[in-house]
Amino acid sequence: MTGLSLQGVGIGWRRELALFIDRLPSPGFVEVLAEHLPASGAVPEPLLRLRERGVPVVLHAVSLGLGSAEPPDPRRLDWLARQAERVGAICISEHLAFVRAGGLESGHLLPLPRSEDALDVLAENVLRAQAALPVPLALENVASLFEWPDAAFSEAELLAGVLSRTQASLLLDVANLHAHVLNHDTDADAVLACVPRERLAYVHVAGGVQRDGLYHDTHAHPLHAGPLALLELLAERLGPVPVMLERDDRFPAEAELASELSAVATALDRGASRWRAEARR
Amino acid sequence: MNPLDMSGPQFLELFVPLAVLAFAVGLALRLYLRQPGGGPGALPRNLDPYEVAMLSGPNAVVHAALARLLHAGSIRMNGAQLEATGSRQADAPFIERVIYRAVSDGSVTPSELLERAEPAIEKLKPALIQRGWLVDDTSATRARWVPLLPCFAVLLLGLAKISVGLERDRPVGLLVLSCCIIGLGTCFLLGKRVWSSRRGIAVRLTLRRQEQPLRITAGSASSPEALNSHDVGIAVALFGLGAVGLTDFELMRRQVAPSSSFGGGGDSSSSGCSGGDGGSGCGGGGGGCGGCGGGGD
Amino acid sequence: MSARERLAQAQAELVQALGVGAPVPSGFDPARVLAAAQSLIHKRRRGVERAWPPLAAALGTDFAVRFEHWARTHPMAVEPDALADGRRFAASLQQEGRLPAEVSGVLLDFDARWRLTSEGERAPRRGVWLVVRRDDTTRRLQVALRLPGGRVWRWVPKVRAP
Repeated sequence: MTGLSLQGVGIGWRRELALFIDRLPSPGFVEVLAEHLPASGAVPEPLLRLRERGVPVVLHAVSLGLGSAEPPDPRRLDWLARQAERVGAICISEHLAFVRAGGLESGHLLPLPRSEDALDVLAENVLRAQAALPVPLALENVASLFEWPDAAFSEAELLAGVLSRTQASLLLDVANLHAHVLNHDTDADAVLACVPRERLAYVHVAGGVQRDGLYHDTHAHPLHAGPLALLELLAERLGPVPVMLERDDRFPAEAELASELSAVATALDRGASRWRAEARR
Repeated sequence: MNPLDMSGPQFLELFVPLAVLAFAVGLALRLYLRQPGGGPGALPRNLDPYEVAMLSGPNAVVHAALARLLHAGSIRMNGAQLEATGSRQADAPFIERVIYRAVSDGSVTPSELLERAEPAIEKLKPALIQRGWLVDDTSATRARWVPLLPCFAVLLLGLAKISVGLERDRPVGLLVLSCCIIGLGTCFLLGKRVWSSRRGIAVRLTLRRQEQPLRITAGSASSPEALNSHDVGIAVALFGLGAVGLTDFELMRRQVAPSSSFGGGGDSSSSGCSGGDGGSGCGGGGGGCGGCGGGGD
Repeated sequence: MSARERLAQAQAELVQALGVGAPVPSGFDPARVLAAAQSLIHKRRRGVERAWPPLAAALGTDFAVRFEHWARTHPMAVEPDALADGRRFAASLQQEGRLPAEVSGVLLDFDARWRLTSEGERAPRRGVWLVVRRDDTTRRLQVALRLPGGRVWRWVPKVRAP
């Protein structure tokens, strides 16, 4: 997939941030959580206003479970398609994860086994989802505290595998990648190298916290230097990429959030200017 | 034919439509006399929470002051009781100083607070009258009483007919009932003080629309730091004390505005998202991305 | 067994281990899986804390302990929903007679707006709905009335401070 018109530095729209985002002079784009939109009735007024201002909207979902053993539920896909139409989303993103199994909801995005079986199922699920959705689908890498035993290939190979088998693009979460590096010694360079620019939809950055030797991707703590450094490396490789900040809890004061956004912009600029210098040579 | 000589049913057939007409004329006159009218005009670049609160009425001014004092930590909820903390800001506006003193004296019933706020509210008024947001005192008196005249005239006619009927020994029950209804309706509908002008009403409506993002953010706030004091003031001024979704604000609302026992939801919850209890309902829904989870998304 | 079947079994074992403390499937690092289980329950608790501030405030430091104890034996069978989760938790407190009296007002409000389906999903009420109940601790009658359009009027006598 190419030509998603996303650019600049965006932010995840949350009710708690509606005012902050409304006051941003020029947000690059916003991402709306499908599960947080009211099931019926009007779309929240601030979102409509952003659309009027020409700010692109991306719909982000967490409950599809594309990595589940079962194919995605047609009712869920239908609901997601309707939500995308309601907010005028130009793209839908979901995770390379599963969220339920054996009749239980985990309440979170769980990592997939890196096996041929899992990749087959995942690719088939993604193709079904793409067929049912009205706009392009982007897939996001997840973070985890544990890994499945007996991995047949690396994280980079998993991402490359799903990209090659589907027409989906990638939503690269550099905070999740950072978590992978710290928690599972994943090779970050290999992951960054596996993403062609035309298959990259956008990038997530978020804050987290390190506890007992494990990195928790909480979206509730300040941004770390690690994810920003990965963003910079990515921009150095691919040029200016659309990137957005996610914050889901323990919302800070406006000034703090604004400084995180500018830290993201700075990292992006630093990487992109090296990319430009490289291109000129 | 002299209406006083009509038969009972005939008279009622004339009287009831007349009463309805008098009401309609009264309401229209009342609205018309809330001068100046017209659109909201140019709004000030920097909104002052207390000027905005004045548009909603004196109670809103008191509530906005309480909200900002609570947010600044000058007052706090001790269980269900409002109390002063002793940390007051020296350069606080007059209204905040009088409300702070009221709280530290323990005068926290709605009527006590309003009484204490009176001088500060009076000081805020002239500028807003000048701006055409509030009705000046003379016009307010006129807008309050002139619309009553048609209703009074109809009422007088009814009373005259009652005395005629009594003299002639006719049944007057229905007529007495109608007059009571008119009398009560007049008091309730038209007897209230006239406060903001038509322009003021338009300004308030415009601001309520403009500040929807603030309303959503204030309603879902989970910590005081996420909002600044100015925004807290504006949110309460426009949307009431229930607009701030923090537990302390809800506790304070129950103490200082117990009459508004309507659950938070109300007009904000026409969307499927409960809105109850200050909209906190919405944050909880959904699978939640991130959160305190180990994995990520 | 097909790929889907093999995957289904492996995923179900893992979710059981994470959600209800079933044995960690072989090959996994047990300490890591337990850490993940713990953080999942934290996340679930935090959701309820945010959706039900009065409940969390009324239970104070007890909230975390009680909720996590309850959550371990009550895994989520439907789409995670902190409002519904909190309501079920409150119901279990009520059964044990440990529901703080301050919370009855917000519960009443919830019940006038929502109902929990037999599957445990939260569904909005429509039209007029009246809830009348007697509070367990204060023995006072409480009333909530949902009006068409979604406004809820409630009448809950104040709890007198002891």
